Amino acid sequence: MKSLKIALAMFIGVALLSSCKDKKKDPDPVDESCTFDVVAMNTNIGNNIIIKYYEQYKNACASLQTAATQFRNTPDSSNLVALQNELETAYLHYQYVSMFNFGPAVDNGYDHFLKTNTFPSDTVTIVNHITVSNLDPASNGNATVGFPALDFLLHAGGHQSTMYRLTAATNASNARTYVEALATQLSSHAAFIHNEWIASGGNYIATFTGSGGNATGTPLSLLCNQFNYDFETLKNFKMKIPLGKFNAGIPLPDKVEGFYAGNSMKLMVAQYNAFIKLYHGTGYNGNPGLGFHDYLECLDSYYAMDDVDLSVAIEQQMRDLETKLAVLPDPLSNTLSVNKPAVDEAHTEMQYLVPLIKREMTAAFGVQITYVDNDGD
Amino acid sequence: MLNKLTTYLKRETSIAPLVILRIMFGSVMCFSILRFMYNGWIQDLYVSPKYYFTYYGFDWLKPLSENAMIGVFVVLAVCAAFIALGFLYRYAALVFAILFTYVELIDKTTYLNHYYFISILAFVLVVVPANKAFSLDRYLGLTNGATRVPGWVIGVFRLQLGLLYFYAGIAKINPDWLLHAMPMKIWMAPYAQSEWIGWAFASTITPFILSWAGMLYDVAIPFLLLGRKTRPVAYLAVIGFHIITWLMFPIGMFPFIMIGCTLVFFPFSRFGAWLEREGSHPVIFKRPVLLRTLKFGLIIHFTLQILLPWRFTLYPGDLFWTEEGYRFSWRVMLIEKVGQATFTVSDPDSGRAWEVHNRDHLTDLQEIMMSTQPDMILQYAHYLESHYAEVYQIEDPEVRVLSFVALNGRRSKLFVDPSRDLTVEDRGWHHKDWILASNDHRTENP
Repeated sequence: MKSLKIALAMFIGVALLSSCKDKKKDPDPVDESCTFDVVAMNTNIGNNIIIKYYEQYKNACASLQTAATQFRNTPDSSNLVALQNELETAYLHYQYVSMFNFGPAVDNGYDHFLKTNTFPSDTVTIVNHITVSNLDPASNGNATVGFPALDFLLHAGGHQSTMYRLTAATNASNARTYVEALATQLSSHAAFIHNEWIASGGNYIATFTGSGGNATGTPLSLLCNQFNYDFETLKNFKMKIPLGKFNAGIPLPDKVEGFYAGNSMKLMVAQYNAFIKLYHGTGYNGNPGLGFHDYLECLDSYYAMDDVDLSVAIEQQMRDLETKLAVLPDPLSNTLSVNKPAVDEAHTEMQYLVPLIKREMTAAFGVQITYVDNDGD
Repeated sequence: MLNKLTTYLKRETSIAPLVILRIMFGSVMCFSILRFMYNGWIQDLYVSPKYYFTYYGFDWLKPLSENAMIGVFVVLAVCAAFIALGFLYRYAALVFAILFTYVELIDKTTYLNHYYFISILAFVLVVVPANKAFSLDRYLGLTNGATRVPGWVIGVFRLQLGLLYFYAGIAKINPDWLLHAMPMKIWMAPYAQSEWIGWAFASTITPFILSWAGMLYDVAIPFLLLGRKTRPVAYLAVIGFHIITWLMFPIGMFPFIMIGCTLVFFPFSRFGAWLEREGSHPVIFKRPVLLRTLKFGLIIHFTLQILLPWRFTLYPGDLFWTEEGYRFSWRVMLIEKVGQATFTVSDPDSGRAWEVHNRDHLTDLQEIMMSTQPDMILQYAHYLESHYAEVYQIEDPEVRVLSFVALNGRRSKLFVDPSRDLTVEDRGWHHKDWILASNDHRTENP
């Protein structure tokens, strides 16, 4: 027992010594506890962000469907322009819900994200579907439905050529039917998901706002994972692939989102805004609320391990990225050939943001990203 | 002191603790292997990966086909059950030890200290007469019985367990762990939101209490388990400590392995007396040459066990950052390290360059583990070199990585020199000068 006591005394001694040494170099370790109401954050995000943006998206899709029917019945130039406008509005509003691809968006036998925005479209197959009257989107592949398919059908080749395809060409009637069917599918999915969320419908909101915690499957974990997944699709599909990063460095401008309408940057910036709003917990009406940023600020003062807080580092990096995105004009496919370095710079800023939000933030929240045993080493 | 030790090692003692250890080890392992299979981890870890992070010197070790791997695990489960029952004990223990170690050597992604511990324990079990009493072998007359063994036969297990705890404890004596309660704070933070126990975790002092208690527990527990008077309290602490860690962390079977194996510190006098109800029979080692070889082997083993955790002192830089000399040293649940690594392969002849989509080559788990461990980053870079050389017909590809790592709640920093072509860097035990310095103020871990 005596040797044990000596051993213990030694170790405590060593520890205290290193303590003094450390204190000298690190004069102000601020220790504040962090009690943060995760349920309140989930409630804010659920009620003021998710449901509101799904409602906006649902309404935009309903208008898109109406415009598609209108154009199918009266295929004139002004109705085409009206339909194109509705398409852009709905596509923009989709960017605000793409992050919420969990719960009702995936529990209905399909993946909403893939059904809605798989690009680039498989245009050869789309044309074939129209030729052979495969006009039911539900039985067609992800690359032949959703917004990218509409982008192709309503914009490819410009106004004249589109009018010809949809009014005078051999399968023009089939093409208009398919356009309407695609819009109807988007609209019915949107209406279904919105209805599943709201209290008077499937009431998923009750589940979502009623649970805290950080385990897999909790709202925090779902949000955190989708927040990152969505940003990675932004980085990979909207930037990295068109930049040719997987293609020996040779750009692939036709792989951008919204290639035919040429509104890639508009769509990308919309998605990025949605991303920032979720991070800050900013509501649909612009009202402030609890978000990831608030939780991180709380944890930053608690952990206090670095001169730079994570919440500050993330905000700084987000601003840097915003600046680089702002200078990229539409159409992105053209910018890629005339000013590739500028696109590259924006992509680099995205690369820098990933470790902060995907690794550090999830670690700070304790959101599990691995699924097998782990003794932490 | 030396006399006391010699007496302890030579004195004849009851075989009871060894029998208990055999049964605990066999049954926990059997359950563990079945759970592993049930969770589908054979497929996840040894079938679906396209690439395996082999250990340096073990590149020749490959996983078998899916069915053969399932076969390996079935055999492991059967052997574990045989160990518990004491049936064909020596063979079962030997096959278990070899197959278990084989599986662990396939991919360092899954390195866990407690798997390493199980391998060691299994090999030591092969060489001790744990089936001489209370076993099917004895009952069926496959072996002659014995109820007394020399002290060292039990002592080696106590020493192995003691080393595990002790080194796990002194690894915790570092400024992050004791003075910043890191990474304990990170691990605790989610619990502060809990409705029932949140009040305890909301206090700033709690992670400090847990950090210090964890360190003191690990360092002291081997000694407390050795003392006759302190043993019962110490064992209660073992149970409490491991149950708490089991509740708080996803650490699988480790707590139960430890709760089961530390029983070897108890003498089990009543059980021993019952085993000796028809008389006391000392175990007879028939071949003295074999016994001498065995003792020599054990001395080598324990010398290595004592030295290996200190090998990190031979490397410059911060151990937690570089992880040079980190594994096989009982550093359990010690750091929180996250990273992100993006590789670029280029062809200097044509100027072409590809960014690598890690998920095309690695599983999620492999990517996560690789991005914070330099030796894995290098291995992966070498794999990419040969992969791209073949697929894109590049004569001499260059591979660079943009990697960020965050340690114990600090901000992400560049981890590997992004300008270095990793294809020209060698694997091995030498210091890797392409790992950037951690540049922080922490003193080195003891």
